[in-house]
Amino acid sequence: MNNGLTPFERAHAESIIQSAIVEPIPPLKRFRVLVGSVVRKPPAVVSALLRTLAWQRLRAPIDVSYHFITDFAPTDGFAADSVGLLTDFIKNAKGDGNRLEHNRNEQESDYGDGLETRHWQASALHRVGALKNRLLQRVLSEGFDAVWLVDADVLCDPTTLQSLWDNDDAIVAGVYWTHWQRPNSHSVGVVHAGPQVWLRHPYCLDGRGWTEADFRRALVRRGRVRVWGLGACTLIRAHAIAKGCNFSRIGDLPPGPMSDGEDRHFCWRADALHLPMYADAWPDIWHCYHPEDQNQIDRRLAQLQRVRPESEVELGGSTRASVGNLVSAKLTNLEQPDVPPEYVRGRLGNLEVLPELQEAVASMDVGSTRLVRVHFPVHYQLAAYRGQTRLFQVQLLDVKPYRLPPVVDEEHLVGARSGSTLDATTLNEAQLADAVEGATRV
Amino acid sequence: MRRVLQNAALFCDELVVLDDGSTDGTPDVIRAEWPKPLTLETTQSVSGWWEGGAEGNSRVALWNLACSRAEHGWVYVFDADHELIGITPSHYITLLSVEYVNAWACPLYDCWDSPDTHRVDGFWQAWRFPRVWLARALGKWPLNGSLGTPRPIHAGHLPPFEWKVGIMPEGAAIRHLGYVNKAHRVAKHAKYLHITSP
Repeated sequence: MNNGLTPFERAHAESIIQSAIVEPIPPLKRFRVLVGSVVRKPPAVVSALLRTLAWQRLRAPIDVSYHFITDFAPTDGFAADSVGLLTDFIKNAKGDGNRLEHNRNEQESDYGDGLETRHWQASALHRVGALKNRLLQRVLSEGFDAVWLVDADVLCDPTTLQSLWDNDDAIVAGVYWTHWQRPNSHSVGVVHAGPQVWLRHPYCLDGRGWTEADFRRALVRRGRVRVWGLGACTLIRAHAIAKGCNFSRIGDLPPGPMSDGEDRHFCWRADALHLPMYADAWPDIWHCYHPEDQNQIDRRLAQLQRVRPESEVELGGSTRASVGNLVSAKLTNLEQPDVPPEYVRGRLGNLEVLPELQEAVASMDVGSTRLVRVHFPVHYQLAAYRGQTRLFQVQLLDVKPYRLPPVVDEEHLVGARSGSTLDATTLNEAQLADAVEGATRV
Repeated sequence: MRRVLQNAALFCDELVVLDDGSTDGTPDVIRAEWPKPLTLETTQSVSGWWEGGAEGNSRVALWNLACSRAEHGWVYVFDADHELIGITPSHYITLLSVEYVNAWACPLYDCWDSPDTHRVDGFWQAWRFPRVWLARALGKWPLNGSLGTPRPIHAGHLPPFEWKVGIMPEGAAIRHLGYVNKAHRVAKHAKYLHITSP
């Protein structure tokens, strides 16, 4: 019978009485995140890792499951102790999606610490890539919304997972800084710390419109920056994995240090799939990279933990920012949905936003949103907005006392009175000596 | 209906209703429950959806009636089983103060089995794509072919003007309650498949 419905309309009507897939409406939906790590570390490092994973504070409705895969070689004498820690953690973790797996690694010599830096052979990189792929597969097969892959020697402050989640991106990594090379008697220059995110393969910190100095400055200032290489502390949404993003070898990549790393193959593939990747420098994260770094674990954990519990005391007991505090906010132009949201980070009082927006941020509690009518001045830099008014939604994502990221804070001089910072890596040795002397004299 | 009216009263100064042939006493419920100014008309010359006629004709008549009352203000268009959630009345008022856009969109959740769950498979994707539910009363619905052949179902709620559309704040959505109850789903299915006129 032709009842005036198109085939599409008829099929839609028929579907009313067919079986349905039903979910909680979005305001009531809880998200499932798998926290995964491939572990081959001594117990001091594993203990710190587990402590930092457990102390994650989440504002979003997220249920976390843990999945560790050990990769110990038979000659790793510390393996039993580390496995004991992981076993206890899994046993006591909430929920029923937690898992501990053991990969028997027979390639004991393909990974280790050398005089200057860590050494990886291709077999180690590919093996770890395959183990990480197991975690990605679990995301798809068990319906997780995302996976947070954390290297076992990467220690994150309590705001890290929440900050990565707030990014709304398919792939985002928290940023940390490492002295990849230990200085030794043959070093002719200062060895600076480098981030684990980069702009061009295999590890170039310039390009794509950035100078190296500007890229470094953006990260030190806690920015959120698009990158073409990342790893080690990465939140990957399920749809990116479903699209084909994984750690399998994609072919021959440009030669260079770590060029065959599983993270390189992942990033190259993400780029080929048109999945933008972002570096999120908001959290405080420390990389326990060299064996002697283990001596710093307690101090570093105290430093990371200070970001949250005591910070509310430092903020006067509230979660509202004062001038000079670091703030992280998301600004959405509701009247122009084609314009992507802007993520603003910086010191309150010095944010690079219009005054009405900064004032709104100053009056908000963490996690709250406000609607703000923003008046663009007649001399505004973007001509299309001059003399215009737009309605913005402002969300205050986080607030914390001002401090530089771990490790890179040791490469800055800080003015005692003004709090302004001088990046020592931007000065030559003579200038640096002079600047330090000047600071001491003052 | 009571629930929908209480919700609408949070956001609207006046209610305009087009009764397209209901048989369950809806007009009386509305008169009893709506606390603010009310305009209620029954379709006369257009055949209503419940009579087996085209949904589109009712939509046009309702829009024109609402516009005549809105006097260049804003019109929030909703069905008798729609509830606007996730936005405070204060934020809603702020939306009405804008100068750049003349329409506001938000997603719709086709609630299924409960008001707190929605259907997400196959055709049921309205939750992914915000649609306009709140718009400036720009004028009458053009009938000279812009509407095309009025559709018996899924007729647009608003005229096909070139709206400049903003997206309501995150969290705002329409909760569509018409499919919550299985018996109602079965009745709608039967109604859709027995519509005889275009």
